[in-house]
Amino acid sequence: MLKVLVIDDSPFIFKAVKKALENSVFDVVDNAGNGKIGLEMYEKYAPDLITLDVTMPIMDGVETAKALVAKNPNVKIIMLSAMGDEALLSQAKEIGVSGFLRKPFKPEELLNKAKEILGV
Amino acid sequence: MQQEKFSELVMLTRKAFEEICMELVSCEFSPCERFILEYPYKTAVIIGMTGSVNGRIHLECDLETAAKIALTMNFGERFDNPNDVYAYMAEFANMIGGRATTYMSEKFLGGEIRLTPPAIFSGKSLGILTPNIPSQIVYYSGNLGRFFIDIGYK
Repeated sequence: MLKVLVIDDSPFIFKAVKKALENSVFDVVDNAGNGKIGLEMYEKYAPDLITLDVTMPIMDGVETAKALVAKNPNVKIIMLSAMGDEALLSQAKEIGVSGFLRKPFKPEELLNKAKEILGV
Repeated sequence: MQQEKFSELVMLTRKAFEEICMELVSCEFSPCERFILEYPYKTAVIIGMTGSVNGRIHLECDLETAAKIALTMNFGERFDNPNDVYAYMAEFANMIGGRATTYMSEKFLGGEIRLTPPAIFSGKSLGILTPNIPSQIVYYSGNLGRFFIDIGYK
């Protein structure tokens, strides 16, 4: 099973990601409510994939993505954001985020994107 | 702010609200006449916008409507923690704010707009005022309940 960590302050998104990815090759291991906790959980779980929110308290998604890429340049991140403006998309690409989905997303969109990124 | 730009921002926010309601909870909310929320307990979520557009979106409904929206978002499953209703409403508002900023960014040729994390308020006889910001209130009704959105930009 491929491990997925959700970094998002919304319990709804955690549940939506679980619904979308479980019953396939993925195991959604945990949910971090902000980037700071997310970085700690990244060390703990060594996930194959991370879904990352942008607007979060304490440490936002952009800062978290930068920190994750600094730890591991090959980290696989799907950024999930309610915002989808060009400035954010190009910033995410520049940091090294593997994929981007706008909220609300359809379960199959997330599943297909996760499979595509991990080549499964 | 010019009246024309203000009206455009309000229109884009309304469009975002209507679309997110449809996509997320499959509910068509339509503009309606002014009303006063009758249920004593109310829920309000405020999302701020900063950057090339400064403003805030204030969504308010009664607790019954909030519970119906949250339950629908939760795939019809009951909550273990009743306070999750508020967290779900915060995400609901976050998506509306995010969609609105995306449209604004496209309409006004870029410029970075960022959202503040949502602030949630709930209580009996709740009244929220934001002085010193031009705003417009729009009333909505749908089969999940009634909402008003107070949209303010400066």
